[in-house]
Amino acid sequence: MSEKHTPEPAWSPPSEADLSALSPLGRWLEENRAPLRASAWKKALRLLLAVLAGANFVLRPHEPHFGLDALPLFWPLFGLAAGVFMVFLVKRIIQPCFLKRPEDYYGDL
Amino acid sequence: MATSETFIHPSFAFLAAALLLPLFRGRAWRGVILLLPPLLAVYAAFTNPHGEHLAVTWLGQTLTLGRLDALSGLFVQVFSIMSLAGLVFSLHVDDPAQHAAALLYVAGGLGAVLAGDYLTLFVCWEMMAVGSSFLVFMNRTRESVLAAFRYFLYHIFGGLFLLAGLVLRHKALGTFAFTALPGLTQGTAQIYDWLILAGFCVNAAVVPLHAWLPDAYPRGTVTGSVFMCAYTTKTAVYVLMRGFAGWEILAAAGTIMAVYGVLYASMENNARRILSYHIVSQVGYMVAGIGVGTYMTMNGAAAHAYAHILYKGLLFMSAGAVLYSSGTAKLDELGGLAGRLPWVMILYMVAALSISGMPVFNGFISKTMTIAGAAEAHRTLVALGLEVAAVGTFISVGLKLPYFAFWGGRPLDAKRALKPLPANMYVGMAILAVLCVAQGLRPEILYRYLPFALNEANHNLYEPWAPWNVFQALMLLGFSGLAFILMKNVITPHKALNLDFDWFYRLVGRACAKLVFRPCAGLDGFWNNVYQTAGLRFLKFFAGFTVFFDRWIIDGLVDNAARGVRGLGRLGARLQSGSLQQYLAMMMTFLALILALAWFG
Repeated sequence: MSEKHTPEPAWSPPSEADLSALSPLGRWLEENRAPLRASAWKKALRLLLAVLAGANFVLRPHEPHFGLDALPLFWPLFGLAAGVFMVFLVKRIIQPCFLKRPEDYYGDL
Repeated sequence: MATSETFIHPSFAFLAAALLLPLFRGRAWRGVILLLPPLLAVYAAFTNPHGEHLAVTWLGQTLTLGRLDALSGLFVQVFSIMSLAGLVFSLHVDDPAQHAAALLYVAGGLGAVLAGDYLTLFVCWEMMAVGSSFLVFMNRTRESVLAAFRYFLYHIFGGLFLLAGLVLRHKALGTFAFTALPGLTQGTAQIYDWLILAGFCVNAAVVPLHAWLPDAYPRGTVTGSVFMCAYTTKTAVYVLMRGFAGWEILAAAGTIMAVYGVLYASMENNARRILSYHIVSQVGYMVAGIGVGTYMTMNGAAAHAYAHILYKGLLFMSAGAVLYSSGTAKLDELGGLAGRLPWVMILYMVAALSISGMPVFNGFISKTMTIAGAAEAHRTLVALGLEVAAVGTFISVGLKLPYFAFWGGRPLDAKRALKPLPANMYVGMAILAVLCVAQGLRPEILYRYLPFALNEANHNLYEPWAPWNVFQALMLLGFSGLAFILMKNVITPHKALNLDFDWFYRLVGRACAKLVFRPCAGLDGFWNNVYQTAGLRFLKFFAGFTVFFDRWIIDGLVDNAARGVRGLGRLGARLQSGSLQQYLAMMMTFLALILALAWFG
């Protein structure tokens, strides 16, 4: 895309004063946004995905809907491929090449 | 459950409240007036007896205002619950006009679902159009006012299709009764059936008639859009279920809607517009279910409508809460709010996981029923399309929106001034969140009200919590999440307007304007010429004549009269010299004259 975007401000640790202004729940959520915790969550997610994919070799549908979905890893691959393809198609091809206009294109704002 | 033989029509309570509201000023009174109708409606939804009620004869027609059966009962129930949550959410709004518009709109929605004939349906249909237009209009910004006019025009246009259809249908069949005729299919449909279907499809936001929805809903008031996301499209789903079950064209249209809405949502930047495109997508599941038309997909469509109203209301509430608090709903301007609006994020996530079909939440028990029904009816393309839409839904609503609004790689947004949220907003959201989770955990809470009994004979038994279903949902959503992580930098939202079918609507609008303006401008120019050549000359002549008339006739008469009076006055003045000798001389002269006249006459 030709348009320049300002880079997102990177995460930086919040000051203790800012943290203490938060509710206990807010503070807990904020602490989980810190890179170390976030990467721990990501690891947990990867582990869960690996377990799900592995279990799919054992757990199969009794009555497959489409035929192919009886094969192991059908749904993981379906979710991953459909997601990646859709985002790529929309954000890299359809929007920039055909549909994107300035925000006030119709002069409504 | 208590039963009673008296039928309470909830719409009248809402209409009465809309009329009474401006008369009461205090906050407490307003709260009472706003909450009584939804409480009554919820009570009535569980106690009203099934059957045809409130038959009114008007212009020689019998109108049925209250037809209650399993199908309308389900919609009345969820409409009533939603009205309660929505009005609690909007209690803090200090603008009786906004409340009145919402009450009118809800009354229209409930009235349309309970209508037993097309005429009553049409009146309620238009009532909804008026009420909801005001909910957009009263956001009182330039873009909202313009959007409200477009929205209103478009719904009047859709209503005309319905009107034309019902009038032609009455001419052919001699009845306004709103029932699907036995044996009516897409193949045997008449022109009036298609007109009525077109009217319904406008409100159901069937692509390509859908663009009014993402145009207007993001521009409504924070509380107004909460109502709008629940009633217009779901009323349309109800009437489609009632009149057009099993129409093949709807199965295709619904699948296209489901995917189309998801694609647009993934490029949008405005949180409420993302959610609006997901209404198109989710209503697509319902329309597809109606199109497939088996007992299972029809039940799936009804269940999904119910679940959808709850979670979509909650989505619009929580996105609205962010807008209310921070002043923007644009994702590129948000981020890092999780710490400061933790409960809003959690309530949003309940709704987001519901719409995504995550186990534990209610979308899981409704969406999967429609998809399984379509697959069992061997509609592979429909079922696959709906699965693709499910992936996109989780990526957009379940991950992209909350990530960029609350989470993101941004630092804690500690500097932004946040308006504190009133407690009633949290209560409204909590009501819906509790229901979303309750239905997800205990599907029978919802399934017991479905229009077609779940049994072997109907081939519609469905167990959402069967191990494979849970496992399949976790795999599909888990790996969609992985797709989001991989594509996070690609899907990052930016400010832009994305062309949609409203480009064509505006083209048609401009063409119509030209069709009217061109002849008008031509006529105006011609008339100018006629006026300047003939009219102006006549006017000059007439002006000259009036000057002449004024100067010589009017002035002549007036001036001469004035001169005469002046002359007489002068003569009189001259005669009244004040000298006694002169008066005596004049008297003697007159006397002599009179005597001479008498003597010689």
